[in-house]
Amino acid sequence: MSRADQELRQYFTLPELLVHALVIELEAVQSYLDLANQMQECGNDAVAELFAKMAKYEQEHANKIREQAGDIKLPELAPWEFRWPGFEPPENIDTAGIHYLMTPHQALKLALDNEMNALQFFEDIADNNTDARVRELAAEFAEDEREHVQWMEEWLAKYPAPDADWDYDPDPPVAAD
Amino acid sequence: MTDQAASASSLSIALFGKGGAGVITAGEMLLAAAARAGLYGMMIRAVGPQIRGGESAALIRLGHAPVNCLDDRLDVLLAIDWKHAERLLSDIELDQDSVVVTDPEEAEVPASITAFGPQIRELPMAELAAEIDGGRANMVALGYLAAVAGVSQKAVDEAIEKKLGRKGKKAVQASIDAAKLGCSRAANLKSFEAPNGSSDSRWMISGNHATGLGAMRGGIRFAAGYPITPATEVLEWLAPRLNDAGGTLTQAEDELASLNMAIGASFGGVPSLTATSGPGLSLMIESIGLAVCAEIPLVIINVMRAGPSTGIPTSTEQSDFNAAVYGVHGDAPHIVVAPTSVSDCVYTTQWAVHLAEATQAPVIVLSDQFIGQANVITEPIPEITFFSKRKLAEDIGEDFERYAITADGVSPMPLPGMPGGQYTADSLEHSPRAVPSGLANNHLEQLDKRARKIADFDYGQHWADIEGDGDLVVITWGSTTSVAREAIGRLPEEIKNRIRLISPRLLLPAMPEQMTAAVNGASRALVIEQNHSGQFYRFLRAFHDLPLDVQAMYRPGPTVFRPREIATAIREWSEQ
Amino acid sequence: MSVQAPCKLKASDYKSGTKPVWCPGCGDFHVFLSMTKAVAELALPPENIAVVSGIGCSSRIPAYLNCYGFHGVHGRALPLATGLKVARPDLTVICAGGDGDGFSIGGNHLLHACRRNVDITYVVMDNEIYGMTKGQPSPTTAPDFDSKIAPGGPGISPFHPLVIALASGANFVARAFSGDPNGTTKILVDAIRHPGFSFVQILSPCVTFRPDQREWKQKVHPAPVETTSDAARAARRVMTDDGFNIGVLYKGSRDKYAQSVGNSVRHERDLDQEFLV
Repeated sequence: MSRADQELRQYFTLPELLVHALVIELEAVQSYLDLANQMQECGNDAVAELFAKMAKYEQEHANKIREQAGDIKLPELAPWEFRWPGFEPPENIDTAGIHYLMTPHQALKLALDNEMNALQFFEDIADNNTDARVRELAAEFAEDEREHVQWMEEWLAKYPAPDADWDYDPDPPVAAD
Repeated sequence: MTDQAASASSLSIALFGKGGAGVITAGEMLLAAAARAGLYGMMIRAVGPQIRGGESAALIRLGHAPVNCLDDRLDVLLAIDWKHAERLLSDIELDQDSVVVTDPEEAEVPASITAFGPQIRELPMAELAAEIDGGRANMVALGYLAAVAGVSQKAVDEAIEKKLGRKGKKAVQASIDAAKLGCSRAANLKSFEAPNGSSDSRWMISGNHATGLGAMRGGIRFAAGYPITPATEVLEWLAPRLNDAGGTLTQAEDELASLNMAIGASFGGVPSLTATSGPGLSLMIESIGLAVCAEIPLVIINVMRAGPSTGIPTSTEQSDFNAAVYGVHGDAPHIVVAPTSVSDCVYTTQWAVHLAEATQAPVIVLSDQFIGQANVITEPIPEITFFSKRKLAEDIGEDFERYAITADGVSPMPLPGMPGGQYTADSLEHSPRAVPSGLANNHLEQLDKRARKIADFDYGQHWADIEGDGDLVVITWGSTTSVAREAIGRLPEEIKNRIRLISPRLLLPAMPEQMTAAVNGASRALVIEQNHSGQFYRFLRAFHDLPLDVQAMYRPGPTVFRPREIATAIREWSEQ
Repeated sequence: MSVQAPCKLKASDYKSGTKPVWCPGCGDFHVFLSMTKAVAELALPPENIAVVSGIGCSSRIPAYLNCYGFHGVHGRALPLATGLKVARPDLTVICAGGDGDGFSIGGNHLLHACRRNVDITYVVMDNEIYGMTKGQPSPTTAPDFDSKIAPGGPGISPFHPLVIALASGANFVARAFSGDPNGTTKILVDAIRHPGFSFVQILSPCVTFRPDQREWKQKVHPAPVETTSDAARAARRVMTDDGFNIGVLYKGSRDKYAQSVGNSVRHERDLDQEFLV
């Protein structure tokens, strides 16, 4: 993340904040759905189901943001014009943590990280933006995310941490072509 | 001499010289002049391995009827010099009726030539040429040989004008004058008769150019190729003509690329072709399988030369049959055709385009160096209209299947740009919807479909040329057909009348039913081809259960078949 | 993502629905995402796009896209794409594949595709390994990478694709990182728009055979310099960088390959006439 990006978020307008908030959720939906598909293809139904559920929640959240936006016209931005703290929107799963044998615990941990990233993103704006209305809305979004973080922590507590050899596969990889 | 009759109706000439002597140019002018004088003829080039400076010979046969192969012996051997003559003239045959024309200032006539006991004539070509400003010995030779052939001075002048016109009046006049000098020295030599009437309507064409013409007529508008002897002329002829017809030719970095370029262009909907020879065909084989699997129409011209490996690149052989028929891995139904003469290259190539487009499959055309690089004088080759249209997708709906299982095995093909037709052509086995699949049923139904569209196609009468109805069947293919036809013509009446000639133009798929019908009533068959292992013969035995005693006569290149060799083989076989 | 342009297709509309064979976590998923975003951004009708590939994990990409595609044989994607573009200049032709397909078995075609400068975009998903055959070193693998086929490492220097592309005449040369899908999208849009042959190397980690490449996310960084139109300068830069500079390195202005079907001035030619004696 460059300093310039951070500064730009300080000057986010209300429509800009809204479009970022919305796209965080929409991209998360896509990201979770893709991962759910991948896990299903690998026979990891438990994690597939979990990701599908996450996608559903994120979609509901996106719908809520759309309502909040009301009649405000959102700017049309190319993918690279968004100002994310990293390469991707904060609620996109870091695929470096993805593994076909991963357990629900690990999946939920990744999802929790996402929510915390989003929380951080909105808190940053709520603290630093120059426009009071933007700060107010960002704080609202941050509050939503804080709630999600709490859910995720509760959810995560229900699943045991993986065994040490969770990624052990007695069979070698397949040579496809 | 065993075949007086045949020789009397034709005149065989060899024009020999070292690099720079210009014997090929003089030979081409002689053929052109002979054509203008109303003769038919054929010329083939024999060259040493050097790019420049190597010895070369123009082998020309002129006749009153169409000429499609060389004769056994030479009537005239004219040598501008004798440098390395033994390297090119090892397989020629002369006799006491033959005339050897030599320049007294050059080396002695080699012992291997005089051993035939020919008549020797001296013609001081270099000296005569020196009398004319800009005169050359090869033009003296041209004039001399034209006179021997009975070709008028006017026809020679016109041929010179056409060939050298671009070099300016002075060059043309010098050549005309040199030719006149040569002509004047041939006065005492027995002349062949040329009609010397007007015969402007005839064509002079090489097999490689004829192949290009067939491709253009068939609708080819994209070609890709990599230079290779003896196929390069197909590409060079096509390049400007494709351009003028709104198409194009791309020179590829290798044969793997040229075949894949052609596949890409054809996938885009443009009828496409590549041309190569043995080594290039070997490189292309994997991607021919791709065209089979992805069902892409494509024509591959393979102008065969002596193999294996680099082999003898400038010499002919029919030894790529196995590579063309069996080369592709997996079960890969495709089509292989072979032109039966120089002029048939037009027809067979055009047919190949039609077959490729109609069946959405690769078609290999097996031409060879002999017919590819031979020039012949022929009647104009009429155009035949094939429909040459591929079955394109129409009314593409939600459930469109690119590889739909159809009764005839051909599935309507969408082209890029057609909305809703998006699919991925795949080298992987696939379902009817073009999705990669390793399922047994998908594999089987696609294999069946691809086999069916080739096996059940109506190839009509074009599958073979069949002549005569005797009980002795001569089966041959490709360039050997013309030689066999002349050989049969020379046989004594009682044998000739018993011969039936079958030359399949369609080599793959095998046509066992048609072949069985074609040999109906016959008792024995002799297969003749030019390779070392009887490739087509073995294929015939494998795929046709013919109610005949089948024997074979085959030998490799580099020398082309001559009629006597085949006539002798047929006669001996007929007497068994 | 253009959330308010309903007439324009969304990136997800460019997915065919066929499920990828890639391992979960594979970088190619992100490249796939970036491609869909790029063509959506360019508002290209799916039927006017053709994606051509060879063999390998990344070469499976055409079937996953809702556009015309060709999954050909190993190493020959570039000539196939070249033939298609020359025959159909109206199409947007993208060629895609991996480092083994493009730099090893298809290496010769890369040189000549750069040189020929046909207007196509070539995307190489580089993971420095043969994934589909289970982990053999590729032309971009480090000399000490241990594997079954080359115990102790291949012991030969890796191939430098960007320098090769520059030296061979590519008109657009860039390096992207799969983990930066939005940045990759921008580079792809730029590459597709740029006339002539555009070469984009995308570092795309193999989670199965190169788990170490998970660290790439921390290693990559934007190129500290602006895009240049000076090939020599670009070559010097890329030869001395750490291999993790991301961005458009070079944009040339060489004329693209002009020969194509339908592009020549037609001349009526009586072919038969030529053969008259």
